[in-house]
Amino acid sequence: MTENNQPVIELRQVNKHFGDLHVLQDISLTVKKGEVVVIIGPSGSGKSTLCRAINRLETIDSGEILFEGEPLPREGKELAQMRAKIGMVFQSFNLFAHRTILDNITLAPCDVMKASKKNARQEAMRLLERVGVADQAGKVPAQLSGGQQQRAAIARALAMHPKAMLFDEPTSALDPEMIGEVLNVMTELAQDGMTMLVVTHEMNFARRVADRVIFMDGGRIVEENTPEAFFSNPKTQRAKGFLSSVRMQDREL
Amino acid sequence: MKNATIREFLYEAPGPKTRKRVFWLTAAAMLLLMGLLLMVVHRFYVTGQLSGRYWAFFGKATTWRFLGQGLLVTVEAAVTGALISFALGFLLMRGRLQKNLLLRWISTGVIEFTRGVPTLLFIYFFFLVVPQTGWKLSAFWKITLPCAISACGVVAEALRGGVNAVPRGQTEAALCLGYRETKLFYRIVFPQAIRFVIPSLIAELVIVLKDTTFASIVSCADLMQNAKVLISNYDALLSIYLVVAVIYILINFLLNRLSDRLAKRTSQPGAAERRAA
Repeated sequence: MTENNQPVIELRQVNKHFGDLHVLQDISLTVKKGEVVVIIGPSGSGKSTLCRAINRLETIDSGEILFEGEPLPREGKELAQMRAKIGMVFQSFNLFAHRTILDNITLAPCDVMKASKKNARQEAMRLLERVGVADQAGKVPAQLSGGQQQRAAIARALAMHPKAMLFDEPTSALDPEMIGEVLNVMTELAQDGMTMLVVTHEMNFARRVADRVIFMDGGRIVEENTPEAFFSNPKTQRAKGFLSSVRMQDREL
Repeated sequence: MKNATIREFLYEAPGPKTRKRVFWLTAAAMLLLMGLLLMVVHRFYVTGQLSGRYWAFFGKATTWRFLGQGLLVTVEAAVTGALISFALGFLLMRGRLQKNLLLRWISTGVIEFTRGVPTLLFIYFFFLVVPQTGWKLSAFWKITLPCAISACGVVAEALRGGVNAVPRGQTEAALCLGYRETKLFYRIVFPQAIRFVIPSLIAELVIVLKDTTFASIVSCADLMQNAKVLISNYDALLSIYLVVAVIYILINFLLNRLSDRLAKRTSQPGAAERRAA
């Protein structure tokens, strides 16, 4: 993994409210190049909102979000160009329902990056091969299993050659037997040096793949540490409580 | 789920008692209907409506050619009117979904206006008011334009419903890939929205087709107008109206069947591909 300390994603004192609810409270966070940061925490802790704020699917009330040292543009062409550099993977896949898997991958490179159709197709097949769904290229999303759809969605994001990837609970909507195939693709991606911010409930993945684990609760970053230190010796009471309740449900951890 | 009909969706499967009851009620209803039909035919017979002079002219080719010419005009007016209303409706829908407040208000106003005013008033407007401005319109446009305008608001709202039915996640995914609003709409949202609204659009085509029967007001020679000419020629009201009604029902029935088939083919993404496989 390349560690060259250059921050790719940077949040400074970010605050956000949903009405009376203070969902992000003074969030400061840096993801360096090649780093894999995993955010865990109970539901409603603001981790998804944090993830979505980074490419402005959620606006923020105060603070700053920087991508590759540049503040996130507020609108227009600049915002679109910035978003194109950040890959996003959703809980519910969000593949384009009216297009084949292959079209899903080639659509944005052709429309947004003005890639030639031929090149986009070649690249798409290469990516589908890489995530293991090349044999499904001609089908529409509804014909694929959840795991296959999510892997195709990862390929779709990779087709834009993103500088970083955001994963918003990528395995939460999957049947248990399909979680592994998606996590494997993500693990390979991390090993290839992709900068990643992952919101997940998969503790095993966090432990094996993360460079850093961030524990959020009630809109705040409560704890931030290496996975070894965090999982073996959580410092805060909140994290201890959360981990023990997760372990109760998940004996194998 | 895939092959479930609305009936299966709303009610549980009937048990033996219910099945028996349904059988007897159906039989009774059928008998009643047949009785009514017989009564109608009997009244026709008694009043002489079945006599040869009211039906003989249907054996002549000229009668059918005349009705055929009218039918052609009806179809032309309906298709033209529907296409214009789809185009206007699309523009109004786009307007209503804009961020610009003025555009949104204007579009909403036009939509509500056209939805609220009866078709007949629009026709009178084009028949009586428009000519006074010196704008010379043929009879064909005097019926087609008001029918189109009368339908465009409903079309706009149907399209808007379709656009709103496209899951938010589709838009978010496209935004994350660097799409901007206009392209996102035409490449991602609208192609999915149109699948939801094809049945409504065809239903609207049927309404436009029925509205064109007002064509006689502006003396446009559509099916209805030609039927009226035949009626005064042969002094045969009932038989001709009956035949013309059957023609209208047949066309609209076919359109509705088409709508069902299109809806089935496009409602579930991949349904067509699965069938082909």
